[in-house]
Amino acid sequence: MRFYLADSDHIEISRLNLLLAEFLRQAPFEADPGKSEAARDRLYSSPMQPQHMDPEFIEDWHELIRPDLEVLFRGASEIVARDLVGLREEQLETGEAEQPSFHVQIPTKHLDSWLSCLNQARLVISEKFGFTEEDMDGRIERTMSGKRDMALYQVHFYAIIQELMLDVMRVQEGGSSNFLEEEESEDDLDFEDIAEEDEDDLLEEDEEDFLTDTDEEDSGPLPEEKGP
Amino acid sequence: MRMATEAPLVEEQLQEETAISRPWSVVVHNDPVNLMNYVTMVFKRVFGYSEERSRQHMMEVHFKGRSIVWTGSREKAELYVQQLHGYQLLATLEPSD
Repeated sequence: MRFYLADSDHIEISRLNLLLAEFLRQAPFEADPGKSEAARDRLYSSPMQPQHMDPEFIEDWHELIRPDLEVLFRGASEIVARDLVGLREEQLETGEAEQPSFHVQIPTKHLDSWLSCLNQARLVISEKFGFTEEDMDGRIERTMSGKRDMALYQVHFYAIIQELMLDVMRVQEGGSSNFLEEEESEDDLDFEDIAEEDEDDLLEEDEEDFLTDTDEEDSGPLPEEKGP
Repeated sequence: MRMATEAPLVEEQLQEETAISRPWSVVVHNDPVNLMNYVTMVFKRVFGYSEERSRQHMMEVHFKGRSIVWTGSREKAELYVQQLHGYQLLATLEPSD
């Protein structure tokens, strides 16, 4: 995967394999808590702890503030969904890649929306699968089996994209990059290695298995596309 | 009789004014999902804190489970909590000790 400033107003994410491109495409749908009460409760958490509860204030919060938050969150996902219309297979030079590769350009003015959407998606997925602090801090295992492992991988991937976007925003606000080497141009945030092990090798082994549902216990397709 | 009926009303008004004027704290709670750099950015954005102060509060949330990030009027505390929820942080308001 490559992540870089295409120009002053756009970042580009390229060299995405099929799985990562699909993860990206699913982000606005994953951000929707749907019928998951746990996910809803997390996205719309209480503004007061039980020991300080003010029922009248809580009632007002649910009536007035929560609808505003729903609009805010949905708005971010809609912007991301529109940007992802431009997610396309890229034409690489002959011999450069054996598998399809995808890319997308994102306006830098949309980075706040992307951060929000990806954050919502990570929270919703984590609540649905019950991810713990250990899951969040742990390494991605080389062999993934089943939906839970794949969901954890998806959450970690979204986190990487968030970190890269935060870095761009930090640089644009005059700060320093956490990823750029000193000699590199700030126009080329090039993040080749996501994990310590070779990402492509990891995915070649597991992506095919997952996409063809070879796991008998947890078989299932990738999340179905849901409408906005 | 006039004094007796006025006394409870005055007391109620005093209690209400005290509740409004006492300081309230905005507390951010830890969760395993939000990224440290993300939380730091949110503190800078919402409160206008420096990078260093934002990072200190973030580390306090991470290691101690919670951090009192602001104290002041209840009205403003409510607004800050709303803004923090807009970034999906776990935030609550509570009476300041």
